Amino acid sequence: MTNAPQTQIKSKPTAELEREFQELARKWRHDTGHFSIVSQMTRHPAYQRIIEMGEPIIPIILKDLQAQPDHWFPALAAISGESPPIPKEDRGRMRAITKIWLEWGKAKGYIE
Amino acid sequence: MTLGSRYWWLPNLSEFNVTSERSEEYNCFAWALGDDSRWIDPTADYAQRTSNVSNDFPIDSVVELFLAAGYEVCGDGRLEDGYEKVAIYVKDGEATHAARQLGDRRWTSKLGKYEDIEHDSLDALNGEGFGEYGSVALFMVRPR
Repeated sequence: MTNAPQTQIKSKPTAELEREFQELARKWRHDTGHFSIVSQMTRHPAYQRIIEMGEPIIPIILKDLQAQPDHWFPALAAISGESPPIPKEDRGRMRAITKIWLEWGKAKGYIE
Repeated sequence: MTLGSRYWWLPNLSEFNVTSERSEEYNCFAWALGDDSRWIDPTADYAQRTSNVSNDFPIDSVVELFLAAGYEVCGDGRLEDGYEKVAIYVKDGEATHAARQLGDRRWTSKLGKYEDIEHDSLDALNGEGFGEYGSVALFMVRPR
């Protein structure tokens, strides 16, 4: 069921994908930026739409993470089916988790 | 941008001071525990510990977080010498926010990824609309 929209998105130019991502991210941040429970943030339709965009959106999410830590980790895990191990001492530490996901993105070739 | 539109989810907020810079590093639950270095999501931790991936116990998980920090459930948010209290907001059966009592009867709240504020009343953060915090459903207390 999710294959159709993902195939459609894969054919979109990066600039268009990025524009769509920025619009959805802006809406998500506006509506949920004051939340503290991550599952309440990630159930927002804009966040779910970003997940539905599939693998082509991963480099754009990682680029956003390079600019500022944010709660994109569940989206990256949902899209990729992967989750790099977070050391116990880094749990909840946004910068440390961001760094781990960026290293994951580099190792996977999504970002340089 | 006015403060009103900046804190659109707090339509009842009027008397308050902003007491920090904006930060994605910590949230209201961490701040209620006096920690500004971590984002504490008690529901995620609870889900991991109990293998409950659906986060079906969002209030239990928050209570457990504060119990582990030496708090116990109490009846109200009145200022009591030698004790500090937290107030837990709930909306639609889910915990949404926590505020910590200061020594002068005021309360301090970290607003998600936004700033810390000090507010005179707990009701100032009440709201049942879209994205709002609901209202205080529980108080917890521990010795200062």
